Amino acid sequence: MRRLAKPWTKKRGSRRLTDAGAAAVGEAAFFFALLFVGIFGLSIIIVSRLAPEAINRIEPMIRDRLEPAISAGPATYFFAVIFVAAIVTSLYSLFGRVLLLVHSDEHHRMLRRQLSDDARQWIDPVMPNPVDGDSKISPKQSQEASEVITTLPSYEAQVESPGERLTYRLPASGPLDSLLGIASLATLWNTAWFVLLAVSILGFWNGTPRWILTCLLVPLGWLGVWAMRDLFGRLRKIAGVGPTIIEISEQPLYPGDDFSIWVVQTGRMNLKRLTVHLECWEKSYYCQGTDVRIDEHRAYEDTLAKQRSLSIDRRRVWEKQLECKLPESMMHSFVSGHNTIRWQIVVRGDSKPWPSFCRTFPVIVHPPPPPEKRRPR
Amino acid sequence: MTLKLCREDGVYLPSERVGVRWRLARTECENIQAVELSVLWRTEGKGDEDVGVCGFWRYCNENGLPWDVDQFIDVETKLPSTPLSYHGHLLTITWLARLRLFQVGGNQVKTEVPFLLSGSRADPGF
Repeated sequence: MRRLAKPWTKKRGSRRLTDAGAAAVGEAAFFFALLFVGIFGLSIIIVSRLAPEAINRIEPMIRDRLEPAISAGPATYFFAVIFVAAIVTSLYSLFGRVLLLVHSDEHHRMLRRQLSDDARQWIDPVMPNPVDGDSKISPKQSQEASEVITTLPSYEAQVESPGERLTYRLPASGPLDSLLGIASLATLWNTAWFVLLAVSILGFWNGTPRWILTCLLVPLGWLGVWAMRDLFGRLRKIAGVGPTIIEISEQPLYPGDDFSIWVVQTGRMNLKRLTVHLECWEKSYYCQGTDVRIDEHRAYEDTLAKQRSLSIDRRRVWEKQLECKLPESMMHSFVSGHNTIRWQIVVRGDSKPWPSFCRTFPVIVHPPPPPEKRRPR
Repeated sequence: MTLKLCREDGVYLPSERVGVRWRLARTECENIQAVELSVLWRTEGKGDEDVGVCGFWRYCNENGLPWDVDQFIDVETKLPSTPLSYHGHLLTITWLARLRLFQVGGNQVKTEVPFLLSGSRADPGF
């Protein structure tokens, strides 16, 4: 069946369903519309200031609609800022789109890099110019990549905390960030709900009941209860399980490296199973219509430790030093705009009555260094 | 269009120099607006495409080409340390040399030669 043309791109797996040209036309049409709306609105405001008699000739019905924009109050400045922002945004986006149509993708990227290099030189004039590539015939424009490694994630967070037994204590990722999000949601939602409840009660008190608002309070309140339950569930998980500590002998790691990790699980619980894994995950971000989707795949997994039926309390924490080896032919950590490859140590526990937990500790893997520059052990 | 790499096996090590030889044969000089040669990596797969340009040369035909069209031209650039070539489940990282010919009238013709950037010549693939 023939698909209808859509003004936005869509990906199905690694296939792109919509023509990139159609998407460019759709995007250009949107920004042109935004530009014309901005110019129209700004013109109305300017004309109302410079030639108010011209406004008086507009149909009264239309003039009433434009009243907030052309009145002398602060609303005028608000609308002026909105219209100027619309014009600037659309011009900037259209300029970028035209550059993409005129130049190849590679040329466009080099121009952008040149712009950022120029900006950096302006800030720091000591920085040397990028070196030209070698060619017998001098091209109009040439550049060579700087030696800065940009596709490796930074490992500053991994080495900023010294360990007690091994060199570095790894930072955990995840639980506190998700807790912050749900805590903000629960607080804001329930605050808004109580304000609406007060408005509804005042309505009954004054003899002007607001029935629609009162009816809406029930589903809105249910969402608030759900957010609070989720928040307390997460708090219970964090409070009951206790912190997990992982220390590592070296960072960054290199393929084929032998390294040690020291794992400590604290808390007060009976665990059915506790496992420690070294994992490598591929992660891809892609646009599906107007949504940004994320897909993940575990490319490598090695079980470093596995223990069944253990009990942990304040006087008897679970701790173990593990010797690990990174495979020779594995990919290094990688970060780009829409794709990542990340390595992590994962501690998973199945416990009762506490909920099961999973904590991840990112580690950074670099590509193998050249043989002559091998680091001393 | 002819585009060749300096190594026949197409396997390069990090920080090594890659030489690219190219020429435009059987092309009218008047039809050429510009020629672009780039050495770059790109991702393919489920995620949106990422591209990193390592070396870029643009030759404009403003007052006639500064070389004979049948002549081979050699360029050279130093490869970075990362990313290494990778073939995974969700993403593939490919290194390539790309020659793009812009013709008068707006047509574009391009040719690409992929190569591997690997940590070791003995075991080049992941």
